Amino acid sequence: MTPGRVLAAFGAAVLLLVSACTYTRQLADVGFRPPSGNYRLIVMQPDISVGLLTAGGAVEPNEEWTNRARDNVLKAIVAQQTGRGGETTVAATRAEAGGDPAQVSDLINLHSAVGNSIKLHKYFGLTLPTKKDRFDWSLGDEAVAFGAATHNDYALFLHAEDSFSSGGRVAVQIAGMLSCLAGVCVAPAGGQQLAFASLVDLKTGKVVWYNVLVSEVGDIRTPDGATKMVNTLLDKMKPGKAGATGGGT
Amino acid sequence: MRRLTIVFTTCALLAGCVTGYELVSPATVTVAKNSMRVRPSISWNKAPSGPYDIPQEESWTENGPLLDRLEFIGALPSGQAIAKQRPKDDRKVPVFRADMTPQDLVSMVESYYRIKLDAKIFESTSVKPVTFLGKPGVQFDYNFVSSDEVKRRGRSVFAVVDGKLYLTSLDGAALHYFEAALPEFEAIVASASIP
Amino acid sequence: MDSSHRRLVLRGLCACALYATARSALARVLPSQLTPLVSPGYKPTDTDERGIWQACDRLEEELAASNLLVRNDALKAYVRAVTGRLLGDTAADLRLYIVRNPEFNASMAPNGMTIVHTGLLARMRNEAQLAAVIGHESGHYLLRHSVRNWRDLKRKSATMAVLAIGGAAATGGTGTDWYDIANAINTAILLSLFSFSREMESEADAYGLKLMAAAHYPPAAAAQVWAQLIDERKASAAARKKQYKDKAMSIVSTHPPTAERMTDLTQSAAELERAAGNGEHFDNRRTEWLAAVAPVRSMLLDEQIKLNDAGASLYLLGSLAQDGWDGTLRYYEGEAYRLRDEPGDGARAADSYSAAIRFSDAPPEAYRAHGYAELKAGRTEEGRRALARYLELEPNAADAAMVHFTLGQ
Repeated sequence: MTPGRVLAAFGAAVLLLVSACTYTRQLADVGFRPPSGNYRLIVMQPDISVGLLTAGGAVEPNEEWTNRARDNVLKAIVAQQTGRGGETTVAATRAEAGGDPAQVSDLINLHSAVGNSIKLHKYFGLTLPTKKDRFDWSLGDEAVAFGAATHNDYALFLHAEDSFSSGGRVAVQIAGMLSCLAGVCVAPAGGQQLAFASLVDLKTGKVVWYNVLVSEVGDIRTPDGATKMVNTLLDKMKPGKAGATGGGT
Repeated sequence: MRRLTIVFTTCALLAGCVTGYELVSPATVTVAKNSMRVRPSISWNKAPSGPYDIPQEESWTENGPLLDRLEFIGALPSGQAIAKQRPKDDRKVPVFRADMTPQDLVSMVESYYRIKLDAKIFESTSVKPVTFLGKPGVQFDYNFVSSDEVKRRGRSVFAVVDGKLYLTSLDGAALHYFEAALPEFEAIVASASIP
Repeated sequence: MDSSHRRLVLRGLCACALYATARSALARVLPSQLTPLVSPGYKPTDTDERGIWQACDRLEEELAASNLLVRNDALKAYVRAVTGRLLGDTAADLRLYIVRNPEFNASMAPNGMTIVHTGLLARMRNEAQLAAVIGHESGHYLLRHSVRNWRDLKRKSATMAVLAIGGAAATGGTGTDWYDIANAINTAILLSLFSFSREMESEADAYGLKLMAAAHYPPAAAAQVWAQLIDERKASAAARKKQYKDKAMSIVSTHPPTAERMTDLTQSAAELERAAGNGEHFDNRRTEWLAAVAPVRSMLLDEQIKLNDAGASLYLLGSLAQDGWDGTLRYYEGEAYRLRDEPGDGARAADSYSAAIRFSDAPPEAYRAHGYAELKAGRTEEGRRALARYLELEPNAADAAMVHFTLGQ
């Protein structure tokens, strides 16, 4: 396989899904119920960054914005989960996750491959017939062992990036999206927020919930903006049914 | 052997594009242009063939090729390679030859992984004689790491029959996926015959 | 937008990228004119530079957990010592990562993250050559080229668009190695880290020479590194009956130097050597290098030869054999012929394996290879003897069962 090529095509898919100001599309395992009651959740190596969209279309990483966004997003997640009864820890680095570091590394790498498979085969249209009406990917026994060793019931993986053009946000250009079809993406002129999250049930090792968010509005550098993004991404976790649930606002 | 290609994946995006994975039901089926007959006991997903495949191959997956892949190559004649390549490629997978030693065949598979699947680390763990398709064959176990950092394991079972190469292999993530598919793979290999 | 999906394939693009398009000649940068823009303990203050560091730190966190790292402490200590000789106190700001990757490459990011590929180590003939490459990368680091590059790049409106296209269709393009992780973090940053202008490459060349001379490495070694790379690419192209192209972007390639760059390297080196005077003793420390790399030589060759770029393989072996053939080199020569598989190569491989086992350092695999080659040639008794010898040397070989079976036939 050539995962890179596969991933390149995914970029196109994400953009094509943007048909409204904010777009999310959740997938969940059959029988999934959002975490509730007393539970412990670990946020694994959250990957949050914010940059400045330059005139040339490049994103200049901004340390201060990134730090602010990280703080606010992580606070928002903790607050949200607490509101549901969950105790949340954030493992900023692999070492902080606890457990066996080599095993944690393997799990994180596997999760990337699983996440990419979910994107490919559920969001991108490369449907696997055996998974047509199922959402069914696992991280295996090692994930269960990790959960037991660290006393966590769920693991949340999160990627969120945002960019702002100095002149304020500009509408995404359709032309930029179409060029993605050639497998090559030209940065749209204007900032955009992209986030995806996956929830792993550490009692079974399975990825039980997945969501992608693309938005042209919001600012995760602010507490309000971060809360809004986190709520759109995570709070509206819908109980699972066969197939995907999608929504745009 | 198989790689997903950008041409294929972008095609899947466009409306009206019909190629995609097909369901393989748990029943006796012929594979790789009817060169072998096998009996899967669970459903599989058969990948569409594309410009990067050789005519004699067929590829299945359970959870997606990033996680597990089952490959068939059947009746590959002497002088052809197990992967599509151009004569002027800098790095070339050695072609199959009917008089190859077991070590030649093993190193052919290893070169394939290093050249086509970008394996940066590749380790042979076992090479032993087995019976495949009712003939003397080789079972080759290995593990590898490609640049996506995921540790993977693989098993290739192959035999030369009437001067042609027949090969079935499973590779997948060392964590969970390879082991989950292995029993089914072993059953498929045991069931394999030349029609 | 998720930048990981801007598939700028920089796979073939070494940190020492150089553009071979015809342009007006640059005045030669004189090593003596260069001074460092960073001193030991340097920390960035400008906003954009701090953003770049933070991005590099993220990349480094991923790299530090990579499954592709070489964790050989002795080898790392050796490479660090070379860096220390070149950079003195500044070396304390660097963290070295040796990565399993057969491409010739090395880089030094602004935050001190230093990457050396095993493909680089495979090709060096002596310590001075290694120092030349590290010295060149140090030049980029000391002159803060990445920040300057970033500031240049972000002004150019079409840059991202143009550069995002084109590379994507190149060969390979698999997975997410550290280029791709960097690409995922920020494509533009990746470019600024690893895609320097001609002027900056010339400055880095000149600075590398300056560092080498001060550390008593012969500056002439720098041009030799590039000449060897060109010769390797030429050998590779010739073996495939292709025209060698100066800027060919093959899977393996770095962009080889233009004639101009080689001239500058040679001229500046000559000047430095003259200026050093008769008292100076330049030492390429070949003995130390050979001793340091001997324990990993097999691994380095294995990952090259098995790619079956026949011209490059045989060139590399011939180049290393200038220090003398040994069992390991003859074995891999046999492997190179066997994999090349052109008419007559079976016999050539057999000859190489026969030669290999006459050396006391012949790896056990040489006996296996010799054994199979003899069997193929109909020399059954010798073949069986060699296979048996392989099993004696390596009773727990992964393929012991297969070899036993062959002997039982």
